[in-house]
Order: sequence, then structure tokens, then C-alpha cells
Amino acid sequence: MRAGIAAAALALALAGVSGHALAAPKTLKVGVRDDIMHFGYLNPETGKYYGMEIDLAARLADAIGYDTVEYVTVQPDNRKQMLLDGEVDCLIAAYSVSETRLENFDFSESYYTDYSSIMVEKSSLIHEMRELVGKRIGVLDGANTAPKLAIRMTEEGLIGSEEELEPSLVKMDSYSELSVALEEGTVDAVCMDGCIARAYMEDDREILEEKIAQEEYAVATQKDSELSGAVGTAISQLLSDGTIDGLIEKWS
Amino acid sequence: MAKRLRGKAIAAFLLEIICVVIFGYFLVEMQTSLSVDNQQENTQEKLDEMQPLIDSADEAAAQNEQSYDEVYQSKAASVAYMANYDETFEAEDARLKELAGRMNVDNILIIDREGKQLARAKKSAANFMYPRYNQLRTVFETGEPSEAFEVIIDGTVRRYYGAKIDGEREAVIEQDPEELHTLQANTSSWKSILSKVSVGLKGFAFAVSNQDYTFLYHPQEELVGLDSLDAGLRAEDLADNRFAWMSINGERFFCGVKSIPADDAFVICAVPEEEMTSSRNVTVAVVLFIFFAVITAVVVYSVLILGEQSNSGGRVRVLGGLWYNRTVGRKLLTFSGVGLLLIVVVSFYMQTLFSLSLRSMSNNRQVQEIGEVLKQNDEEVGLVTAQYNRRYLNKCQVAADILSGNHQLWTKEELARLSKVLGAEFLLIFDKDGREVVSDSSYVNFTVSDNPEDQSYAFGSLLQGLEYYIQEAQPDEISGTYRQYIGALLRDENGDADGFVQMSVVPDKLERALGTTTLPAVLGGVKASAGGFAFAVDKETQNFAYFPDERINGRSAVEYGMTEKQFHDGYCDYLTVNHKQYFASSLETDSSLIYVAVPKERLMATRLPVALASGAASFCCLLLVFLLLAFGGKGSAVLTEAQEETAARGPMVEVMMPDGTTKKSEAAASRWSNSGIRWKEKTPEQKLLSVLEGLLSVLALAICIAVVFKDRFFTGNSIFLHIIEGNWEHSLNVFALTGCILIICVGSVAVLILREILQLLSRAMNAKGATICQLLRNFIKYLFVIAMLYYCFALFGVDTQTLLASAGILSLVIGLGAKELVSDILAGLFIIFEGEFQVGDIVTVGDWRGTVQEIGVRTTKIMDAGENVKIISNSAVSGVINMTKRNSYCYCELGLGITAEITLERIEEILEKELPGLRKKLPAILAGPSYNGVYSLSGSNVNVRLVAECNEADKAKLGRDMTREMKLILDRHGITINSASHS
Repeated sequence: MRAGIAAAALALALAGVSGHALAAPKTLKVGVRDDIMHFGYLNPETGKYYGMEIDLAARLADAIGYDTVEYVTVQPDNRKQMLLDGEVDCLIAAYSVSETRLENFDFSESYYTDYSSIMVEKSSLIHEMRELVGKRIGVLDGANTAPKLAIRMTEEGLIGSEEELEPSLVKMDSYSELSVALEEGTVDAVCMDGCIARAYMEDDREILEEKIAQEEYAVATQKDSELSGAVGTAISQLLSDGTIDGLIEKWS
Repeated sequence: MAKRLRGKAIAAFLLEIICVVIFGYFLVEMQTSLSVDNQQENTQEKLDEMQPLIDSADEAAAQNEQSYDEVYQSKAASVAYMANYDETFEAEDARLKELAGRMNVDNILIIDREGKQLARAKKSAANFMYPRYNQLRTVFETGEPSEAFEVIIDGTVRRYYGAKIDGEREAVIEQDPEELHTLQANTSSWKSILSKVSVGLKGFAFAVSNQDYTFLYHPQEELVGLDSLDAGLRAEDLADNRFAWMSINGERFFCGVKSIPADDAFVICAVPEEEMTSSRNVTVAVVLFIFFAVITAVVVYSVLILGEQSNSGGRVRVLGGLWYNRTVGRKLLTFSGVGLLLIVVVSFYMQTLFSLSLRSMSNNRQVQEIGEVLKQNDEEVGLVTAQYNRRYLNKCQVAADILSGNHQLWTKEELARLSKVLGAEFLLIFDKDGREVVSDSSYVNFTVSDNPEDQSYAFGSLLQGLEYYIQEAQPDEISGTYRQYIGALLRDENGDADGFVQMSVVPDKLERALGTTTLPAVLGGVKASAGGFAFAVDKETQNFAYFPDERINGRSAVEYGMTEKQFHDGYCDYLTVNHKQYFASSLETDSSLIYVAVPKERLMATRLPVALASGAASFCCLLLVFLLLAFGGKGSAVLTEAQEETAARGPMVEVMMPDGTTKKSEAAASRWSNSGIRWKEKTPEQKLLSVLEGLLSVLALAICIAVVFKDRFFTGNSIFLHIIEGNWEHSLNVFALTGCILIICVGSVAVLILREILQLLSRAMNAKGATICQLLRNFIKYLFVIAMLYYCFALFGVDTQTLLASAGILSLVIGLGAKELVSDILAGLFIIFEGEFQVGDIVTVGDWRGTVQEIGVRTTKIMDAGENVKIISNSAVSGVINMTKRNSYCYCELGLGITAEITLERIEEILEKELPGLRKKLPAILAGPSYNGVYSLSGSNVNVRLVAECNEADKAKLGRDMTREMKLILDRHGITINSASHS
């Protein structure tokens, strides 16, 4: 019995040694957001990233045997390309699973479920989605919220077809632009992921109760890459042992 | 020393060290948990205050916003009113511009339902067509001015107010809300809330965002905005109602956390570790030191008496080979008992001292803070009043503007409508003669009074051409209602004075704003820790200006138990109110004395349990030591060489005490000699005393160093500094007692050093110098005692001025009763300064011959050759023969029988031959001896005298020796000596 344990320990030790012997300090390059409070946020004062996804990246790197993590800011319009080009090893950037994305990338299990929502200014006196018909709705260029919104509004019977929404959509490059446009009144509502909407939430604003679509955030890696398997296993492990729940708790 | 004893001694000392370590650990743990508990309780109280504090700040902010918005809504409504009812009003840009200037607003616009701008005072960046401005359109449904909202365009903030003109148009006021935002920052920002919160003595409150864990507020400005996790906080510690040790940039704090979900923040009350440990360390050190001293005394003493015991007479068999040493046991029990009592008393005392000093410091801090708040409030009252006056005046001027030249509006109905728009109670219009023309109030036919006593008199100035007049809010002369009147000049079409309009407002907003600044409001909001509260006593009437108990409020403080002595600034001691004792600190303000008081029982809750616990712990330790030392095997007789040594001639003598017991005592001869007794010659009690003296001097030295270098060791508001600096009441209290102990320690160390220096000097100097040094030493001792007595009396609150004044009475007492003492002291001084004799001189006083040992302030001590010391009062020293000479002469007189053969010539011959030999035999002879001739004849006897020079001290002995030697010499020559004498 004792010999068995010793052997197991030896095997483990060897595995550890061999695992580390493969390379000198390894760095995992993670694409993260820098503008979403609680998820991935770059504090300009300290120059450091904070948030649930940042912590998750650190845990993930630890779990799959990397020594350090390098955070790279990605934006919705360039994140796809950056991962394809290998500028980052993986994306942990409020990146939701979708069929089109699955064609290009491998996704881990979802670590967070979010809903995209609509945010308005209180002074516009808009309280329901149906009041948005014919109004200007700001969405992020490159994000999949616009089609989802169109589907939802069609489902609700607010518009005849998904294409009907197109004229009232105002596409912008960044969330902060959207926020400014909402403030100045050049758009009447903005539609974005729930976590992002909450980051831009203020006392004078309101998030409509209707949820547009469910978003499953997961870690994206290059299709069929070596990393995919390791990341998938590690995320599943982190999910089952409650680590991720702990992180969500910490940052909520 | 016997082997067995040595083993036992080593075991005892080892046990002692272990006991001290265990007891020290126990003390530290106990004190730490106590101070943590205590702090946790205090912090909890602070945390519980946080939510109400934030709520009240939010409420104040909401009120600020509301009253700010009301002002601008009423302005918008005024514009709408004008547009609606003023026939002369034209919705033109120029007119709006003029109006904006008059109304003191940034921009006025007239827009239609769609948001198209019809007229404007100046260009606006806003596009009112956007749904963003839907809020403004609510006026068309409600008819009421719209809710305010803000829009930021290109970084500029604008606040919008709308008021309906008619079905198609509305007046919009666009205003930069900087004034409001500044006000809000001053009332409801984290900084404005938390910077006023004090925790403990040096503690503070700070806020951390629960969003990104950055500091929202920290007293160190540079930390704000930085990451708190980086600074050293742990995310898991940041949870509601959690208490933990946290470190911020390396400094440790004891923190309590309160989650404020509404603001996405954690508020943390932090107390520096140093603050909590500094009091703990000193308490522990002192109690531990006493414990160490007691246990050392017990161990040393018992080891010494074990060594001393030469027989096993005191031993009793207890069990088998176990023997109980009764003598040692009895002595040990006594010592341990006294020591135990000492430990309990000291620990009780230290607990009292520290809980009181902590309390008085935190009371002092709190009362200072109240003083600050009251001072700020005074300024704020002025500011707020001025602000409201400005707003009211603006309204009144708008009214005057509307009413000037528009006589069709001078009706009761129109005035009522205008009053409503302006938010005024009512308006009155007076003509050029000061007679009321019209009003929407119940006052009719009112005339401005000519009597300066009357309330309306002041408005007469408006008839003399003054533009406006703001009267202070006061109860109305007629109705008694609390109102404020504002008047503004009216003009006719030509711009000439045309009477004035008077506006009445009920200044409830102002009242509410000022309500929080009153003394009862401020004091009522104070929550000192440990159930403390604040109250105030009016300086002049000595009545309670504020007391939480309603029944006492306004009553005489003296009747309720306070005394005259307690009515002063900086009072810090117990006081009694309504039969309840409080520990309080005071602060004097312009009109009253503010006290922060904490009930006595809340202060002292822990001291007795702590004292008893440390007593119990030390009891266990002492019991162990006792068991080890009092019990043992059947030890053989342990007469040792040390014993034999002491049997030799030493300064110790056995004396019989009055109760029949024999004790060892120091011989008289050695008591006043400056040489100490050697260790080996001491009795166990003396050895013990030396050990204790040593320990005590270590303690005194430590205290002395701590006091002298206090600034080096203690920083900020340390408790130790509080005690040293004496910001406490001079009366019979624990601080005064501690102050006395401290000053006595410092004084004794100083005196000891001075006396040692003098001692060294006296050794180095000649006899006269030595004498003076001795006297100085003596003098310093008395001076120290007197000075200490005087100082301590002062600390205990005895009026030292009176004490000094009563020195006159004192001298009378001396003159009568202590005459002897004075004459002794004077005689002593004369002895020294006239040089009658010095220490070491051989003198004869009366019938007493001996060496001077000491000339004291009161007595002189002379020791004879038999080492008996005669103590003579200085005043009784008279007829002194000072026999200290360079050389003395020793005379030896011999009566020799003369016969036929032994003639005088022969004797002289023999003497001449033998005398030089004598000198060799007797080394005490310095010169001579020589034959001094015949000094008498009697019968057949010839009395001859021999003389030799010698030291005075040797004189008596030399005389005897010379006589003996002469007898031997003369016998050899067959000469008979019939008589002999020497001097």
C-alpha cells in the first residue's frame, strides 16, 4: 500500500518535473477587455487589469502549466483577427459562443451567462422595448447584438421582418462612443451585453427589463490547436471545483 | 553550596524563566484579545453609524437638489408666467437675454412641442427634437414645471427645467449646475462623509469600490483611485460586517467592513495596529516586570534561606521520601502571598490607567471634533442664510419686474397666481406713500409704519429709493408666524419709483438647512463609543444647554451633581450627573461648555476580570515554584563554607528583637561608613533586598529613560505621552498617582546619579571637600523629598500657591516646635563652614573621644576606638577638642626608685642608650622617643618623662606599649618602677 503511494507520488513528481522541463518560463497571451468593469478593466491609474476574467486568465494559466500571463487588450472589431493571427493565445474577453464563431474557433465550456439588454436615458421616458420602434438604436459594430435584437423585435411582433430594424440602427466603434451618443441624445437607446451595459450604467439611465438574448461567455482558442484541449479541461475543472463561482462572487 | 541545593536553585531559576515566558504569553494573548474585542465593539458602533450617516448625507443631497431645482423651476415658471400674462412680453432673443441676466440664469429658451427653438437668450448645443429631451415635454400634460435632468455635451454639463406657457409653447431654462455639484460634493461625497469619521485615536474610515476594488476615499489623497488589492487588502476580507487585520502599504490595521450596496462600495473603519499594541505593550511590560520581580524575590529568597539552614530541624516528612521544609515554607508563603497581592494590584492599576487614558484621549478627540463642527456650522449658517436671501431676493425682483408698469396684474387673483409661480406665501404691493394697494394675503389697508420699533418700519427705506430690502426671518408682529419679508422697488413705464412689492416667504427650507447646525442637533448626533454621549452646559447660567435626557435639559447643572471645578475648558476626569458617574472631557466654546461623557461602568467592565485572571495565572506559577522549593528529599545538614565565613568578623551582628527572636543586623560602625557590605556578609534578607533594589532601579531607570526621551519613543497621541504631558485633571486620580510615580522615578534616578558623583568627588577630595560633599549629599536627599512632596501635592490638586503661602505658618510651626531641628541644622552648617572639625578628625566632645564619621544636617556621628558610635545633635556639639594634629606626642611617665647605685645619672645613661632601640621595636613611633627630663620628685622616687611623636590615633596604644617596653628595659638593669602613667 505504502509502496503504491510512493510510486504515485514519484510519478506525480516526475510528471511535474517533465512538465516544467519542457520549456523555460512560459507566458500565456490572453486577449482581454479593458473597458468592462468587473470583467476586464484596465485601471489607467495603476496600469493594471482587474476583473473576473483577468483572475480567470491567471487561474487558467496556472492550471495548464504556464508561468505568467500577458494581458493584451482586444476590441470587438479586432479580437477575431488577433486570435486568428496568433497575436493572442486565447480570448477571455466577454466573447460569447455563437455558431459562426464556432466555425473559426474552439470554445471551452461557458464560464458566465449574460443577457444583452437595452439601455436608455431616463429623461427620454422610454420604458419598454416597443417604444423603440422607429427610434435610433446604437449598437457596436462587429458585435452580434444587432441581429439578435432584430430577431427579438421580430419575435415580439414589433417589426415585420428583421431587415426592418436596419434603418434605425446606429453602428459605432466603441462602447464609450455609444455611451456618449446616448448621453447627448444622438441615439435614443443602446443595445449591448448586460455586463457592458452595467459598466456604463448611471443614475440617470435605465436598463429595460426585457432581455434580448442569452450570451454564453467562453474561452476561445484557435481551431483544433494544442491549447484547445487543455483549456477546455481546465475550464471544466475550474467550473466543477467552484473556482469560477468564487471569482464571480468576488467580482459581483 | 551543597550539590543538592545548587541543583534545586538551577531548577528553580529555570522554572522561573519558564513561568515568566508562559505568563508573558498569557498576558499578551489576554490583552490582545481584550483590545481586539474592545476595538471590535467600538468599530462595530462606528460601522453601524455608517449607513445612517450616508443616508443622512444622501438626504441632505436630495434636499439640496430639491431646493436648487425649485429655484430654477420657479424661474422657468416666472418666464412662462410673463410670456402668458405680460402684455409687453415678446418672445424675442434680446428680451430673453435681458431676462436671463436679470434672473441670473445661463440661458432661457422658448420651444414648441416638437422641440423647435422659437427664441433663445443664446445658442444652445442641445437638440430638443431628440427623445432625450422628452422630460421637458411632460409640462404639456401636467402643466407643472418639469423634473430637472442633466445632459453632458462635449464635456459641458447643462441642467434643464421646463415650464408650460400655453398648449404649444414652453419656457426652458438651461443652467450650468456647478453650484449644485459643488454643494453635493461637500455634502455627499465619500470624502465629505468619511473624513469626519474618527475611529479610535488614530484610526480612520476609508471606502473601497466593490466594482474594481479601487480606493474611493482614503485620508491619503494619493491612494484614491489606486487599487486596494495592490495596496495589500484581500478581496475575501471585503465582506459585510467582517473584522480582520488588513495591511495597507505595509502598515497593519484592525479593520471592520461595512458593505454599502447602494453605492457599490465597502466602508472600512481601520485602527492602526500600533495604536492597539502600544497600550498593550506597556501594560504587559509593567505587569510582567512585577511578576518577574515577585517570582525572582521568592526564588532568590528561598534559595538563600535554604543555603543558610544548617540543620533540618524545620523539616517534616510528608510522604515517603518527600520532606516539607517548614521554615522555608512559611517564609515563602508570606512572600508569595504579598507578591500575589502586588501582582493583582498592579495589574488592576494598569488596567485602570490604560482604559482611563484611552478613554480620556478619545473623549478629548471627540470633544475637539465637536468644537470643529460647531465652528464650521457658524460659518455655514452665514453662508446658507446669504444663499437663501439671494434666492428670495431674486424671486422678489422677478415679481417686481413683472409687476412694474403692468397695472392690470395688480389684482388679488393675479398676485395669488404669481405667488404660486414664485413659491412665495403672498405678495403685497405698496404705493409711493407706503400704503397697501393690493395683496393676495389677508392683510388689508396696511401702511408702512413710521415707528422704528415696528417690523414694517425698515421697508420705508424702499420709499426713499433703496432698490431692495431683505428682512431677517422672524415671528410676524401681527400673526406670530415665522416669516421672512423681502421688498423690491417697483417702477412705472418711465422708470420712476412706483411704490414697492413685498414678498413673504415661510423660510422652512432655510430653517431645515439650519436645523442641523444647532447645538442640540450636533450634540444629539454624537455617539461616543462605549455608550458615550455629548452634553453642553451654558457658561453663564450653568444650566444644561443640551442633555440627552429630556428631563434634565435646561436644569441647573450644579443641582444635578456637577461642581464648580468641572466648569472649565479641558476638564478631563469623572463627574456626576443625576447620581450617575461619567468619565468626561470638556471644551469651551463661545457660549457653552461641551462635554463628551462615557458611563463609568462601561469603562471598568474588564479591569477586575483581567486583574483576577492575571492573579490566578501568577498564583499557578508561584505554586509551582513553592512546591519545588519547599518540598524536597531529606536533605543532610548543609553547613557550608559560606556559613563559616560569615561567622568571621563582619559588619553583621546578631540582635535580639523586642519579640525575643534573634535577627541579624548591621553593626553600628558600618552603617554610616561609606563602604558597602560585601555580598557574602549579607543576610538572606539583605541579599533579597539588594536584588529587589536592583530590580527597582532597573525599573526606575527604564521609566526615567522613557520619560526623558519620550519624543523618541512615543509618537503622536500615545497614551504614555498623555500621562506625561498631564492633560488631565489635577486631583486624586489614577493619572496623578502615575504622574507621581513617574516623577519620583525620574527624580530618584537623577538624585542617585548626583549623589554618586558627589561620593566619587568626596573620595577624590581632601577632608574638607569630602565633608562638604557629604553634607551636599545629605542636603540633596532632603531637598528631593521636599520637592517631590510639593510636586505630588500639586498633582493631587492641592493648591500649591496656598501651600507656599502657608510656608509662613510653617515657619511659625518650626519656630515653636521644631526649634531644636533648626538649631541643629544651623549648628551643622557652622561646624562645616567654620571648620570646627571634619569627617575623619579625631575629636573629643564632652567626655567622648573618637573619629568623626559623618556631619549630617541634624546630627554628627562620632565613633570611638571600640567602634561604638555616638550620635550627637549638632547643637549639642560644644567644647570640642580637635585632636587632629600632624603628629601627636605620647608621654610616658615613670616613677623610678633611686638608690645608691642607681642614680639619676645612671638612669639617664641607660635611657640614652636604650631609647633608640625602642623606636625600632615600636613602629608607631614617628620620632623619638626622647627623654624629657624629671618633672617631679617624691620621696625616693624620681618621676621622669619620655616623649615620642606618633599619630593621634596610635597615641593610647603607644603609651601602653612604651610603658611595657620601659618596664622590660629597666628590669634588665635592675631598676624598679614604682609608678607609671602615660598620656
